[in-house]
Amino acid sequence: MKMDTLKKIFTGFKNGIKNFGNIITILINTVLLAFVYFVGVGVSSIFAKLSRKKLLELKLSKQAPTYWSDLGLKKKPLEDYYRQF
Amino acid sequence: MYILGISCFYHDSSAALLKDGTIVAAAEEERFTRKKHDTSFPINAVKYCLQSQNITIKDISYIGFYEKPFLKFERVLSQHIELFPYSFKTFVSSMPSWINEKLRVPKIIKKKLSYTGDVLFIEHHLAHAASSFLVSPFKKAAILTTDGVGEWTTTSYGLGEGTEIHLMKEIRFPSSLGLLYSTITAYLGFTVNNSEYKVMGLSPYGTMDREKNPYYQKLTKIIDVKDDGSYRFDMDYFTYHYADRMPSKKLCRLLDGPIRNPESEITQRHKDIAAALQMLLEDTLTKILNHVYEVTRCPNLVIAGGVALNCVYNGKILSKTKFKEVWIQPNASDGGTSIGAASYIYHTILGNPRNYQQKTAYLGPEFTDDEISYFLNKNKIKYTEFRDEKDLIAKTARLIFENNVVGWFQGRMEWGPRALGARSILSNPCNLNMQEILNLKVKHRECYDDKTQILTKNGWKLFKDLTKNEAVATLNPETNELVYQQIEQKTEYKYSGKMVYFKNKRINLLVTPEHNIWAKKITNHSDSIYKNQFEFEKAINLVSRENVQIKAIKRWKGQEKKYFLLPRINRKKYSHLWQLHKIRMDIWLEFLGYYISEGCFCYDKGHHNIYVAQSLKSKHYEKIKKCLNKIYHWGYNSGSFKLSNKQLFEYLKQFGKAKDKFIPQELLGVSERQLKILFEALMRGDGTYRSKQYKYTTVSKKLADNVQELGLKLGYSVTTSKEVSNNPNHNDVYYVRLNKGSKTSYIRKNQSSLIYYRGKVYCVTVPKYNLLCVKRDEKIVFSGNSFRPFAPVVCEDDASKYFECDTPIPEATDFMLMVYPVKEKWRAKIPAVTHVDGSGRLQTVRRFQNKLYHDVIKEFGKLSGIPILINTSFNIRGEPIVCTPYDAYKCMMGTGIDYLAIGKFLVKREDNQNDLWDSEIYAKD
Repeated sequence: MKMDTLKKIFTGFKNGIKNFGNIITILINTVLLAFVYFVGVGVSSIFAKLSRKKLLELKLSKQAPTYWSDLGLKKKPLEDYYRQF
Repeated sequence: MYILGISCFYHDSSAALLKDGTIVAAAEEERFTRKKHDTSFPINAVKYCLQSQNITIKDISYIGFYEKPFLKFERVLSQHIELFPYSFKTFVSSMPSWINEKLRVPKIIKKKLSYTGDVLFIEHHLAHAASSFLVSPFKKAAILTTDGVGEWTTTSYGLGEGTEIHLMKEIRFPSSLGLLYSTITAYLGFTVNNSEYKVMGLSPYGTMDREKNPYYQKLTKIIDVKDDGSYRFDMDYFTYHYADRMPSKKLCRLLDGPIRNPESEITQRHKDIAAALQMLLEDTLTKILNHVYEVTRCPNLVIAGGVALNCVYNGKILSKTKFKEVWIQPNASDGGTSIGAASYIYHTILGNPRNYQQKTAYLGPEFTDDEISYFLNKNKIKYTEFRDEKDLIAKTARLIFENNVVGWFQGRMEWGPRALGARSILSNPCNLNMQEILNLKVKHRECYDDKTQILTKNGWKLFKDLTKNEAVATLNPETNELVYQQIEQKTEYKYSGKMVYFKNKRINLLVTPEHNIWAKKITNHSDSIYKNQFEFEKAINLVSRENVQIKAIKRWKGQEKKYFLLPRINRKKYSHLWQLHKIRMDIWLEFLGYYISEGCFCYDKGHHNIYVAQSLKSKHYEKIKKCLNKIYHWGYNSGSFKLSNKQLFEYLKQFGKAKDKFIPQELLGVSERQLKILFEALMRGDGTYRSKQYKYTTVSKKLADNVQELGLKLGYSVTTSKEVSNNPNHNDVYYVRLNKGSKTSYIRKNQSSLIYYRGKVYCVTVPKYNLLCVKRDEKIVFSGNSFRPFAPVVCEDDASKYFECDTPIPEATDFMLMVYPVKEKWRAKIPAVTHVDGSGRLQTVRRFQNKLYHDVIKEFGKLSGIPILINTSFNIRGEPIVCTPYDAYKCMMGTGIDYLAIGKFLVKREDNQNDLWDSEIYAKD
């Protein structure tokens, strides 16, 4: 009975520590990513908007004759396929 | 030369192995990990691929990955930059997986597989195109790929010739037909990347007329489709490009309402939206395909990408476009790109000629008879052995013909999302009840234990006592109104295994693990856009979790009745008597309330006496007196009102003594206002009111049931308790407690558990609102039920006799990728596989593909006259299709499958009731 109680306490403690660790990880991630987002992405966004650069087509363009754009995807040299871009 | 293809980290991870251009093995990771749509690195699938050829990772010449991760990341960053600061939440939630996994693909591959060779990255839509064209029967074909999104491309077309593929044009993110379908799927309350097929299945129930369907025109506002099929979205209607929620508020306004609660009532509006979406998709795809034909001038077409799983449209391609032949990859969505990546490397990049056509989808693991018998013996499973293949075919067909449900585990597992006769459940489509049996018994849908009662128009009844056309009480989840509906079908079957038990002071419910509970989960974190709303949740998922369930309604629309007609007595004999016949219903209800609570009758020397007890000191004395005197002139003596009247006496006689009293069922159908009059009169008699709660006391079980129903219709949350009398001369006492404060009951973590149950379980289907009013141990709650149609399988040479297919029948039909109409004259004969619009998602089988499967269908045809079977996936709802004998056996014992034909062995469920692998084990999973 005593062993069971000890086990329960130990397991509870372990889970508590684990949860605490997870919370800390989430907090640090959120803080760091928030920094990256507001500084990195935010500044880029401001520059993009100032230079009127459209990264996504968000509106219809009724006058455009077509929405197809050239892709031209065909066989390339082998080396190109080693690249992730 | 061996080439391994890998697809992972988005959805449906998979691996495929090519040996000198031939696909020798392919499987999805979910089948091994048992997690549906598993996205993790497909380590188990890769291991299987290598083991199937007795090779190691060192024998692999190249590994092909199904996309270019950095290009995709560029698109993701562009989204965040363009939509700053709205995308903050998705940025924070998605970046960790990019940093840890998606941008480290080569390292992960090398680390997980100890691989030191070359890893090549193939563009996502190129991998789709290759997965379809390079294994198709065509030397030259037009190619269309369309899915959610790859790197940037969402739709592309081009031409394949020999080993070369040229994708010419594209539509770029964020406009995407796949994401449009997913958005409406989310709007209709279904799960994205999982339940798009449900929207497709829902569409025939809506108005499939472009002029009459109001949502068709509305949806055309959000998409501009040019004559050449190219399209673009007005992104104000969407949020998927910056949030985890797909439809925007503007889209909700356009579609006249908010996002539907998952699996709540599906109204005609929802069906019309699904129909409008399907029509819009079909119109757009037809324009695209006509344009592709004009550009390529090639009569052959191959398609791939998630949208290619829209089998309703696939069945129309040849009749709506100029293409003469079509081929579709059986695993057309992202899972199939592992085949595409490997094939593209072997044929296109390395220039090896094509020498393989994908004729079957049987590319997964298989188990020899020795392995199966080892498993059966090791686990002491009782089984019989077929003498030979002929015996296997004859016995299986006979079992199916005799309306048994047979699990069919033969040969190599299928590649792709469909069960195609290697891991299938087979049954008789000619049996009218088979649809229900499969839905409830095998797929383990909603079921209640034998002590659960259901509210009917004739009062509370045990499920077993329900008659065929009974009307049962259901809840409209949108208005919280109680509505009676006639049951369509009642199902009952024997069950042994774990059941989920919810028990607290106000709820007592014992249901099968897959039963849909209408509940609101209590959670501190947000993992759903539907948080804090009621939704259907599997009972098993609520075990040891806090949740709230509905106990009471908001509204009851009964019928307002002006008069009560008191039956006249024999006129001849009592012609001298004045008889009251028409009494105002309001007065009658009040009177009856007093009589039921406080009244009695007594025949005394020719006097037909009626008494209503009430002390002079009672605060209700004057009110009761006023009511009684509105009907007759009552006297008062010794604490009781008294009347002598033969006509009334004859009517009230039916209510008997105190323990027999009841409220006539027809009076419980009157309007809410009138029910309130009856209720208040009852409470003035035997009721008390304390702490915002009424308590009604009676010794009549029937009256207690009636008061429960009455209280329920007036919006009270009702529970009843019973005080058992120790004295045999005294009656048991029932206390009905009615509370208007809370319409729900909070279930704590420790108030739900799994218990073993052996006995019959029951359910009914109703036309709409899948919420039944049930009670167990006198505790009322609203809980679910459900329904789903099935698919037919027919031999290729018989298909055109029963279905209106294209001629020749496209090979894609072998992979269950086409929907065709069932011929008019056969519809009534195979009801279990005929959809509401008369169509069926059929699979055709050719003998060389799967001899056993083919011959069982033919043999069944000899017995029944119709060589068609129901083929449904060998799995339980929410789980992937089975892979190993263990999975199959576990699924069989966890469901109601009667027999399992596994290799050359036949396992009978009944012979193994106490087996180790019964549904008790399943419930723990």
